[in-house]
Amino acid sequence: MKMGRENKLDKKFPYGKKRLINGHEGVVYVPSENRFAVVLIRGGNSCDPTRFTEEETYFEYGCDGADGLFSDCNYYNPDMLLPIPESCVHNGKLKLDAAKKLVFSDPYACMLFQLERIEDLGEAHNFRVEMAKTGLSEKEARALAVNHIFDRTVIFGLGTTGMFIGDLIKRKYPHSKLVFVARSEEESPKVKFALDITGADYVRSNYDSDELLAQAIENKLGGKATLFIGTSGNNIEHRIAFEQGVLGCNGLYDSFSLGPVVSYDTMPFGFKNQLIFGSINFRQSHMEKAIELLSESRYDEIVSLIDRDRFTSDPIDAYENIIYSKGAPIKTAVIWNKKYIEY
Amino acid sequence: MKTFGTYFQNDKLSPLCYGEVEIENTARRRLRTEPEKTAFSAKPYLPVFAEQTLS
Repeated sequence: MKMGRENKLDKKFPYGKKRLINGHEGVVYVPSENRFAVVLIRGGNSCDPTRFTEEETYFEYGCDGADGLFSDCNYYNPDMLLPIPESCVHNGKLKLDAAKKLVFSDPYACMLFQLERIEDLGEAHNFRVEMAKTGLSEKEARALAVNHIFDRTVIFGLGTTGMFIGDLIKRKYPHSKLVFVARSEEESPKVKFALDITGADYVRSNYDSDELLAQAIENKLGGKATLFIGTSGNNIEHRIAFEQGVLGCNGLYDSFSLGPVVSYDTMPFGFKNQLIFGSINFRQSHMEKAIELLSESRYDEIVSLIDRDRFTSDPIDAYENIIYSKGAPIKTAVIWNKKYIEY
Repeated sequence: MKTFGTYFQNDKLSPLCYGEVEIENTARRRLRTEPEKTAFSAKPYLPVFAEQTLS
């Protein structure tokens, strides 16, 4: 909306249009095939959307160059309508709890790709030191390096993306000492849910100084971070990691935030042998895995509904005063068409 | 085809609206190695509000 108010949306519009139907997360019904589907939102002229180049094109339904989900119907590339598990459907209707889980397919797929990148880079970054420490073969040392990059993990920010990467790390690397850092109170439903899902620890970001916050994080971690994931969209992330030194030697910094400028002093950065990377995308295989994992998850518990008429009667007011208001639920969805939903 | 939906536009006072819009079956490609395809129509049932849309 900010871009629209500032007259900056032109590049986002579908070709020849002066508007963009919004919405890029959700579940749809395909009448010609009598089935439900999750839309593989990201496509285009790239060999691999996680590695697209300056010469390749890219589109994203509801976000970049292609209309999205908030309409009575729309057109989608048939190969991008991914099937959902049969368990999500009952008597020809989509179960509401299943639909609520599947609306997270896009961000969950993003975090599956993040996990893949952390594994790939963590392995390459540290296998040689594992060989030196243990005398193991390169192959064995690479496996060890992957495991150790998750030893002490900070996830800064506790929106859905932070929660999901924490969930995925704990599923695959249960030994990981995981600490979420966010502004919410410890007793808030969001924090309690995230800690319940992941078994992680929590540090509330309400200290008087960066130094004190950094100390609290290290105390909770039991040392310096081997992995620091920024998802809060706030500049404090990199200050805590680099200026305050929470990220340790040979550590990995994963930037999943959109907006902050990451800066660091090159002197300690170089000698500490740290690595920064950022990547926001996924492949179809990630989304298929996300659909599978989400359908068996508890994430329906964090989705609230808003009445369609309430939303469409004044969508700006709904965004500003309900969906993104203080105390708003983690995720808000609208049942656009009640015909095939089983309550 | 005409349909009803919410949409973003360049407008200082009304950047997000609900109303009737014309949509087209534009041929799109999933990957570079594949042909462009016109689309199946689909009806959204449970779209959600994203945290980082257009950010």
